[in-house]
Amino acid sequence: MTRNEPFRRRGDRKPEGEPGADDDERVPTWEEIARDYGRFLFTVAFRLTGDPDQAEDLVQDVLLRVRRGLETYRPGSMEGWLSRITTNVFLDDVRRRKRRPVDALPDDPERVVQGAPGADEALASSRLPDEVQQALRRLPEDYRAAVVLCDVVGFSYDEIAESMGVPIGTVRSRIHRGRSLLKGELS
Amino acid sequence: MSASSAGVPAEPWEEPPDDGHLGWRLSALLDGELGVTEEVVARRHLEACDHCQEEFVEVTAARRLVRGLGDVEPPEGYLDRVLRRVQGGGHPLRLGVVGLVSVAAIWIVILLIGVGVLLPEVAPPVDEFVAQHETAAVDPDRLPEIEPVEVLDPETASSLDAPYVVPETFAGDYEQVVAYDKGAGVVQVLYRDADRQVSLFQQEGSLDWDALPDTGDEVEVDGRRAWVGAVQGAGDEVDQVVVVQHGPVVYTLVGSEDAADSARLVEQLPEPRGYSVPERARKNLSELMRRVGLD
Repeated sequence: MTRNEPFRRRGDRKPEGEPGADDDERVPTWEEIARDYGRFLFTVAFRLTGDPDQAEDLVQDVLLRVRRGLETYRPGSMEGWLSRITTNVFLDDVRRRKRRPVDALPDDPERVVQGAPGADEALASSRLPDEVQQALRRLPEDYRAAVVLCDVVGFSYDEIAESMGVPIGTVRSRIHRGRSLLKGELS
Repeated sequence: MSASSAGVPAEPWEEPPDDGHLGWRLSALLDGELGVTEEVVARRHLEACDHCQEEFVEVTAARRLVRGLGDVEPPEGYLDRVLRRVQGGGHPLRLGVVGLVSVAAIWIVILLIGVGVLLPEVAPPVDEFVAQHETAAVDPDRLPEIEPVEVLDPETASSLDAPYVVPETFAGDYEQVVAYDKGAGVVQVLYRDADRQVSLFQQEGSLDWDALPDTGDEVEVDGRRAWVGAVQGAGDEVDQVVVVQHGPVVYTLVGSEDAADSARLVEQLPEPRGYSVPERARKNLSELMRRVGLD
């Protein structure tokens, strides 16, 4: 599988010299986590929200939860743990906002405009990152979260199912439907 | 990691999807999430099905695009801001339009009715007041002939809007001779005792000390900052003038005999009439409009 993976997979050990490389058994403080994984958190948050201010707020909420829940962290899967928290905080916020209809994005994936079929790889590769990010942002949040966890964080379907608290069949469906909608947005 | 290897019951591959195509299995194939048998069957179907081939190209392109997005450069100072906020316990006050309007409304209410009255700055024209006092003192009917002033009848004079107040007597032995509404927010009342006349000018506002003539002295009278000066009128007579801020009113007293007499009169200046809430709101709104250029 070829991929441009921006992050280490969960469970990967840190390279020597990086914070926490030699003391994986020690639970870091939330400030250490913020400094070591701040960029990772921002990237995931930005991919989920599509907006830098919202991403910053999301990271802040994630770190508040991290500070409260450090005792539940088990050394060795920091990025996975942070990704799960980030996704849950994001989806919690989406559900809260959906109580205010003006903020809600479309629930029904069919409402997302479909483009003409037949996009090939050459066309896809010509898309600018901003266009892709905007298209990603227009996906329904549950679909977007599944796609981000799969293609940005690099989670397996099992890990996504566990993170989102949904059956694996739902994950399969959301990822595939999310990609199809994304392609339609970009066509 | 495949679904079956994780102990999760695999989808029954033998059962074809409703539309006879691969559907979600295309993404699962790309992601290496199909079991060995599932993958073999899926690839076989894909080779023979144009519809699935087309969809496979689409989801492959979408997947590549998202995976190619890469890292995001956080904005300048992001981490410090977030750390500060988390250490502070939560979000800073972020105001949307509604919040801004609410805060503005609260401030306007406070300004309008909550903290007194916004006063415009006033600069008493001391020389003019002296001249008008002298004219009125000689002949009270003469002033309206040469100045655009309105003589206030006793009933009107006693019921002027706040903060103006026109008592019939002043400082014990001074009795009102005449009261004028001179326009532009100036009221003049001429008082007379057995052998002297004084004029009490009233202006609603905040005294602009810098605009007063530099021929006088700043003194403290009855605990108030006051300007005291001797101003020569039209003739040889020199009038003692005192300017003092008293509440929302700037009083200019013309005609007192000397500093001691001025101090005695200032101590007995009439108390300005208090503003009602509607008056306060109306005046503050008017002043706010003036200050933002909307009057």
